[in-house]
Amino acid sequence: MKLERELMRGAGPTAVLHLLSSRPMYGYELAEALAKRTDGVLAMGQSTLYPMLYNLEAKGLIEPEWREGDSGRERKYYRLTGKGKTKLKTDLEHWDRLAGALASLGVLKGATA
Amino acid sequence: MSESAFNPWNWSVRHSPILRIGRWMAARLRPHAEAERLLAASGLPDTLRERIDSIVRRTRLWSDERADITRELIAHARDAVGNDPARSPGDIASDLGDTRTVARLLRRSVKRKRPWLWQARHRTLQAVCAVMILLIMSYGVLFVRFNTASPEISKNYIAELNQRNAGYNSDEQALPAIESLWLAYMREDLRLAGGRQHAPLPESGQSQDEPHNSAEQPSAFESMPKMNATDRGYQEFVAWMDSIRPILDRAQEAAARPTLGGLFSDRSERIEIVPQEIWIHRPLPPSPDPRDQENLVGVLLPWLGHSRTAARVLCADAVLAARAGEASRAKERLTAVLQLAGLHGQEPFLISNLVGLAIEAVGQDTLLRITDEHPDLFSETDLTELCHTLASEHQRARHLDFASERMMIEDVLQRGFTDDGSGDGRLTRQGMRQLEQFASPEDFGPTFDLPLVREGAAPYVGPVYELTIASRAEHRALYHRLLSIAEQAAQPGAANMAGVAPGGPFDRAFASEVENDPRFRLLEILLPGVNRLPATVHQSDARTGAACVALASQIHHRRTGQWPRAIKELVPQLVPTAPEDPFDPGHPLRLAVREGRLIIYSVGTDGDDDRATPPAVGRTEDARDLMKRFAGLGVSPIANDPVSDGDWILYPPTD
Repeated sequence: MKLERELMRGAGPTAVLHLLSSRPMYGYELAEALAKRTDGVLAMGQSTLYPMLYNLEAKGLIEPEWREGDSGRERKYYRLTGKGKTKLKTDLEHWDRLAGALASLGVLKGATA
Repeated sequence: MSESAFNPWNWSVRHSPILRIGRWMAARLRPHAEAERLLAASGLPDTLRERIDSIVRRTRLWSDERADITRELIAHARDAVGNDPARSPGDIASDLGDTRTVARLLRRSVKRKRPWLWQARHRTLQAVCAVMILLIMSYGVLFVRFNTASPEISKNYIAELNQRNAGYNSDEQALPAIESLWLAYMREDLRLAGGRQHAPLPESGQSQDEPHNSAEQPSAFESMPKMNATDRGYQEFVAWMDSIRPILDRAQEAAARPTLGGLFSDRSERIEIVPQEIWIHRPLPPSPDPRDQENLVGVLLPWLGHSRTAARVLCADAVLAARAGEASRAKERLTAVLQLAGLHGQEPFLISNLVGLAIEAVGQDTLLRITDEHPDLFSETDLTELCHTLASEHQRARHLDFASERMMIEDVLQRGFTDDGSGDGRLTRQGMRQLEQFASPEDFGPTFDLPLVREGAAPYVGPVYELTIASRAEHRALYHRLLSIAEQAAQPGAANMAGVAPGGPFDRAFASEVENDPRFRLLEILLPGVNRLPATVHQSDARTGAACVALASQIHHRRTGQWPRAIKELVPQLVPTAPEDPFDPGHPLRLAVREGRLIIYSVGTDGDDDRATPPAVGRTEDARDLMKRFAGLGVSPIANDPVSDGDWILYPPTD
């Protein structure tokens, strides 16, 4: 199941920032990680992923670097900037509060009112 | 670092400004070249390669931006092919999504990464373009609105004016006889000019009334009606006057008719009486359709000059009659002049009324000169009748026809503005043409600085100009309000002048609402001078009052052997009321006797009684002086002005 566009627009950047918080990753790697680790819920095509990465880059939250990976192929790696870390921290807090609020309303499965 | 690893020469060549400029220009000319090269070298299947090429080409980004995206998409595609060999290139290509959509998303996001200077310039350009588009669209709307609007000319004001004379037959109209007298004068002027160097002929529309200039001593003909027996050509002049007596008699008889009888029209024909020398502009019947007429401002009144000339000739004959001891003829000629003034007072158009006052002034001045030079000429009955004529004709002559002026602005507005049915409307192309006409009259008058009003520019400038011009209703309201102030100021009673005094209601409204508000350019052109008209009327009131007092004083002198010491001695037996001093509202004109002669005077501009002493220089009774006086009633606003330090001598007549 894929998320609706509006939900994806809110969750996608946070998910990408979160993935990049552990290590620099390139586009294909990010797409695979998002698809596999979320059972396809946050799976993004290239038409969504790359514009999102460029937007995050424009905002100064991530920065790119062309370098060769382990396979010897040249790839564009993205890593979190200081500003990106701060933004991720804020976003996670917001998501926590949102999840808590939805749980308190019984909207999320398994949550109690 | 070894020498082979870094070659300064190669580095210098690669980074030389010329090569950099060359590369920049090449990238500008072929922005997709690098992307094409990368794709060609990628080794990707054609399907994928073509798809990436199509997407990147559609982004229309800069060359280096396209190359960067291309490299990244190639890397992505290689990973996809390498990690999942089972998937076909077509499936992988489909992950890229819709070509147009992904290109648009990439374009937007990449442009956000561009330098802030570019962003600022881009935003500015966008804003400028948006404003320009908005302006062009607004202008387009205004252009269509302006150029499709047209005035609704429904009222035929010229016909309304001519309706006044419709009830009179030709025997009741004065103008034909007046014109004959003018023509006799012109023929004599032409005959006298035969031996002189002619001045250049006046242009069409200019007055022909004044005799040709001569550097010689003025002749009796030229100095009439004040001619002296010693003037050059006096006897010849007397003989000429005798020869035109039938014409004078007809003019005298015509002045007693109920109307001047001129045809008001915007069209005329020039009739040559003497080729290249004497001609008459004779009005032609106006078109019955008001849409085919000019506005009322363009109505011709060619007879005004004829009347002024005829009045002077009649006055001259009165003087000759007095010198010949013919009291009856002198009285009849003077009565005719005063009646002629009264007729002009009944005419529409302020200019006609002002000509009437000018004719009246000439008549009164001539009458007083005659009674001064020939104190025993007129009988008491004559003097009493002349006094009555002075008073009754002045009541007609002092009339300023503001109604026709109101009609004029209504006509101008109906021809220049649209009509929304409730009295309002906006400027049209025809209105622009009117403005152009008023701002730069062809033959006369001042020109006004209306830089946007130019011939032929109306369709293009008008849409914007319209926004800077007050509406029809606003024009009407302000015009009528200012005219009402002037109209009230012209009512009998000098204190009414306060409305048009400097700094008074008219002045303040004109300065703040007309001169300083460019929306009322039309009124700025049409209104100036209106505020000075009431002063002219009040001055004529004073002159008429003084003339009546002078005649009554003569009767008093004959009866008592004394001049009256104050006007109240004449009231009510000889004059019904004491005439008011316009410079001293609420108080009568003053009398003085000096060397056995009566003096009738006003205190003049400075407001104080100088015992019948005129100012050392200049005069103290100009219309502007009268207005200045009323700038501060009860005070002396220009007390230190040597021109105004003196009294206005109304009798005896002075040169």
